[in-house]
Amino acid sequence: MLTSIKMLKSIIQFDYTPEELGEKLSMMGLEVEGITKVRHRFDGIITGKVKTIHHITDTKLNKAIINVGNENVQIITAASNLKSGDVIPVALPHSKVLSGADILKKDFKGIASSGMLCSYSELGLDPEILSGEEKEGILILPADTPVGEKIEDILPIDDDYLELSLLPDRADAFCLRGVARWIEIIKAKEEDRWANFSQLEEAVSLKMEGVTNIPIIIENKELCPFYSGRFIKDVTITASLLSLRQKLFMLRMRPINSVVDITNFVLSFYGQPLHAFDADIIKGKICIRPGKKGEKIQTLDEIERNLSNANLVIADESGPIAIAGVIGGFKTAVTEKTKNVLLESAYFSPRCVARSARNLGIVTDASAIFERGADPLFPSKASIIAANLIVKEAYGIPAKDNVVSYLPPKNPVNLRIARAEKILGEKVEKKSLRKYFNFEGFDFVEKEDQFIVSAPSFRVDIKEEVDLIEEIVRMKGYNEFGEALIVGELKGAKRTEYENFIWDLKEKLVKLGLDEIQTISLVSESSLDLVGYTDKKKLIKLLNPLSIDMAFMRPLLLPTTLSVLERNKKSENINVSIFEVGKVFYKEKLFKETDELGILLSGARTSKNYLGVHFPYSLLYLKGLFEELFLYYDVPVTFAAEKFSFMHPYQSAGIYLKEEKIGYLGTISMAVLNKLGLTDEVFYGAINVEKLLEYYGGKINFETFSLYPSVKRDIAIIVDEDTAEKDVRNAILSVAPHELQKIILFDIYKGSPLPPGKKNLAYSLEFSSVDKTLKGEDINKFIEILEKTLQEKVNGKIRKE
Amino acid sequence: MEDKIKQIKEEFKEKIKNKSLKELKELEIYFLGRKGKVSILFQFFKTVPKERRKHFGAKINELKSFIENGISAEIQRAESIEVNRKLEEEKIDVTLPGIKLYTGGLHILSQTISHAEDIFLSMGFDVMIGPEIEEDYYNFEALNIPEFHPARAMQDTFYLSKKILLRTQTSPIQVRIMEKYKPPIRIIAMGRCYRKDAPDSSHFPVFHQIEGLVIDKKVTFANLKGTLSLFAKRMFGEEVKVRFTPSYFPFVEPGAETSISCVICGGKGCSVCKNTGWLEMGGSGMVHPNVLKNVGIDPEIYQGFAFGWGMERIAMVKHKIPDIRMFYQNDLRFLKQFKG
Repeated sequence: MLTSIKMLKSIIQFDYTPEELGEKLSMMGLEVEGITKVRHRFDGIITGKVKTIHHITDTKLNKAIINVGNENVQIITAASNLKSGDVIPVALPHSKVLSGADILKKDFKGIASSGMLCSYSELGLDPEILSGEEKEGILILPADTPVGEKIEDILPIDDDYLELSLLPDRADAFCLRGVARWIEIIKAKEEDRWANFSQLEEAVSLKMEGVTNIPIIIENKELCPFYSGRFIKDVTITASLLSLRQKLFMLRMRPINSVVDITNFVLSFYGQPLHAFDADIIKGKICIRPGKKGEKIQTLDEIERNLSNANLVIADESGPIAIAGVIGGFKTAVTEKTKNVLLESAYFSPRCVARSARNLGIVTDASAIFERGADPLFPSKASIIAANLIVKEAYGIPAKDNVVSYLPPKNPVNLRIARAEKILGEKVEKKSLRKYFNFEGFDFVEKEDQFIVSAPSFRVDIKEEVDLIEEIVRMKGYNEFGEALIVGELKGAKRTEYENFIWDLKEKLVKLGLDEIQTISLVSESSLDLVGYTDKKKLIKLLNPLSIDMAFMRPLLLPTTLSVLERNKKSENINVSIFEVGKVFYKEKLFKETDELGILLSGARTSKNYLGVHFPYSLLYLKGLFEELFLYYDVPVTFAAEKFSFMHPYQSAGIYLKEEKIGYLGTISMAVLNKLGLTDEVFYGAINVEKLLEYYGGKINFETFSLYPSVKRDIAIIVDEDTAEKDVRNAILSVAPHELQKIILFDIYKGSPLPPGKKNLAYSLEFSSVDKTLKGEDINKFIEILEKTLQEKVNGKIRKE
Repeated sequence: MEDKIKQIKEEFKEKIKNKSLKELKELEIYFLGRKGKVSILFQFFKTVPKERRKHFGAKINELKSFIENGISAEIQRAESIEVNRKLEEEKIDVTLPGIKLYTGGLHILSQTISHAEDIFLSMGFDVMIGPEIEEDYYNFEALNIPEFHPARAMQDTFYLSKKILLRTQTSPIQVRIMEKYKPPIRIIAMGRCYRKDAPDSSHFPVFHQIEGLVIDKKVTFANLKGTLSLFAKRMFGEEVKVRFTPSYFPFVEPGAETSISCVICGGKGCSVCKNTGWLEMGGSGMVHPNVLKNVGIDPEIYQGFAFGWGMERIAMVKHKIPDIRMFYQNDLRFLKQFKG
């Protein structure tokens, strides 16, 4: 909200610079985000009145005689929107327009022109706050604008604006007078006196003729506790006169016609939304009721809207003519043809207007005020203020209004001093309370150790005791309170077991040489298609995504991890070894979330170096990382060859904990890499973290180890080429004595002198006992048995030298 | 005989000079071998008169040990030259760059979260977590933000269904804890949150929040300020100050925006703090009685404070990171700067 300092100064006197005022208001809770300073950037342009205007034959030009006060000048113009009597900006010779160009006396085909007429753009006016007519051709000023005056004295262009960012509880500051009231509070505090808001009130009286005969019925008094309808007859609606136009300019409201301008003025100056109907179009009585399913209304913005009982409507006998507190109907809108007006000034419940506006998906200035809470006692006065202006601007004759009121009395709020002291943690003096409530213009009665406080009706934020405690803080100053540390029992603070596990896991992964990444949990459908994610039934879609790129909750970490890889390869970070521990989401009747760990490798563990030592990542390196992890957590995990749509069909495996699949790993397929424009091999694996925790005991017990020398024995086993290594290993383990401590595969060999279709697996076995030194003979027996077992289980032979 | 001994001694002295290890071995044989010069002397021994034998015997032995000592000293010398030469051949240019394995690190956000958790743990706060997919009730209603409340517009929310949403704050964790445990409560609620904010340098639809909640019989506004002030000092440095400005959050009253003195300029005013000397960190305030009532805690007996700061904001301020999107881009040139 931009608030004009010039207009504030027109109703309250203060000497603060805009910056000082901004700081003071911020410390009161009206956050000022910035200050906009606007200055006119033209020189010597004055107002003139068109006396005559004639078309020059065979040209596109007109010859205008303009009165500029003490003389008439002749100006040739191409503009076609002028008629005699219009008041317009005139740039006489030697004046400067926005572009900086000097205006000179010119000749058009022998006809002299002493200057030019200006449009809004030559004056640098903001088109946002101008009417459609004002933006067409030459700017036409209000009819009562004096002639021969400087434009910058006529239009309040030179002004400073506060950029206010108002919080939902500052409903009272959503209008210019509301901001002025807070300036009065600041002044009262500085001058140590009672805030006098009456200087900001106008004494209002209205000359009335007759009464408003249109009957008004309120169906639900909670939704609409107050409604005033005032009939104003015989209006002549034109553009607003200069004084109103100037006010609208400072309030940054776009002019429409005098009556609509008046309602807009009362809204943004006094914070009371009003609505003016063309009374001749209203049929029969007016009823304020919930909308009905199937009902429609074309609103002022010419959009047809479907109504429901979520909307409170103003209806006549033909149906809804306005959506209460939100927007008026097009059919009953006031136009220049309107002869008689019905002026509505009402109070609608905040929740009712919020629900209605939310339901329609629109926010208007009126709905913004009503849903935060307008002043319930102001509508009567607002109606009189507006009617007076209509008399002045549109020559109407107002009747006495028809009022229906169910407003409940506002109860005063009790403040227990002891309670305030308990919350604030310091002594609260009665003397101070009196001052604070005086500064804010509150009425109060003291009763023993309580203050019974009646805040003005516009202070809708004062509802209960705690609200008054906040006012103590506001008036004393938020930073005038001391600091103290909490006092309490020492219980031994902790993280949850689950969080401890996650931190431990992350640390372990870092020790394994991986960098942690954190990726967005919202993904696009195409990123899921890329990795062949097909379980669409389980996918969670956002009802209101920010964009299609972020429309789904990620069901796996792979897509966002791949985009991290893609980004890094583009940044020429060739070696990538990354992991993420993060939530993945799926639908299974309910919405579910669980933690996944994903590890991605590409490139090598070392950079190129002069020793030629290179350590390229591989699928089995990745498997080694997972094995290390499972060993660390002491969980019995197995890997089994398995195919995945996004993996190399012969380089991928499922990861199983007992019988349950908890993850997978593999080499990302060329097809996927090609789509990402990646060329290097990429290895990826993922597991469900919660499954890991389920099996993990979390505590490590000491195991004894041998103090005697170990015996090593290397054996070479020849098996068929496609025999899985795991089967050979299992065969060894099935007959190995418990003294077997290590089994290391140190060579795999195919080719001559082995027969085709065979391979040689070379193992180094290490034996040790906790209670004696083993001898070679102790092992020989095992080798004999092993020979037989290998033959039976994997068709293998031990190779003899 | 005497001459012979003298002659051999001279010959030895002559030959021993500057010999290699191999030549020394040969010399050893030449003089001391079975058929060596010295051994041959013993053959002459028979020709020496008996009474002179003892004398010559001693002379020859003297010669023998002279040669032995001489050779062994020379062998030692030659050996050490040999070793030195070999070591010299093995010379390594120690100015060569070392060979490095890549090491890993925690994401700077994790490091900051862990740091923040540790600070609050040291102040006796339990660290709590909760679901990212939440019920409207826990995210809004229980927190004194009923449907259609204008404060809902302050937090643009992603919905999964009419009543299920992605939490916009970690306050729902607080509500769940208050439902489950009796006061005294002293917790922080940490985790990922979501708001429908288009990404720019200071907004991202995903972010992390740390919220604190303390409920007890005598927890005051002064305690709120004291706690946040201590946290700020531990996180950003001892010289940092905390400031409150009036603000509004439906679940607290009085409510405040909390700022810290600018860590870049020390409060003098710079472009980062927009010349205010202060950096806004998040909201705080005294827990609204309605929130306590909603979870069945008697606000006449218990009271407390709550606050919520953004973890990305904390990390950005602490490490001078200019753009929140960097956390989620995960460029290794970014990640590797924060070894941890």
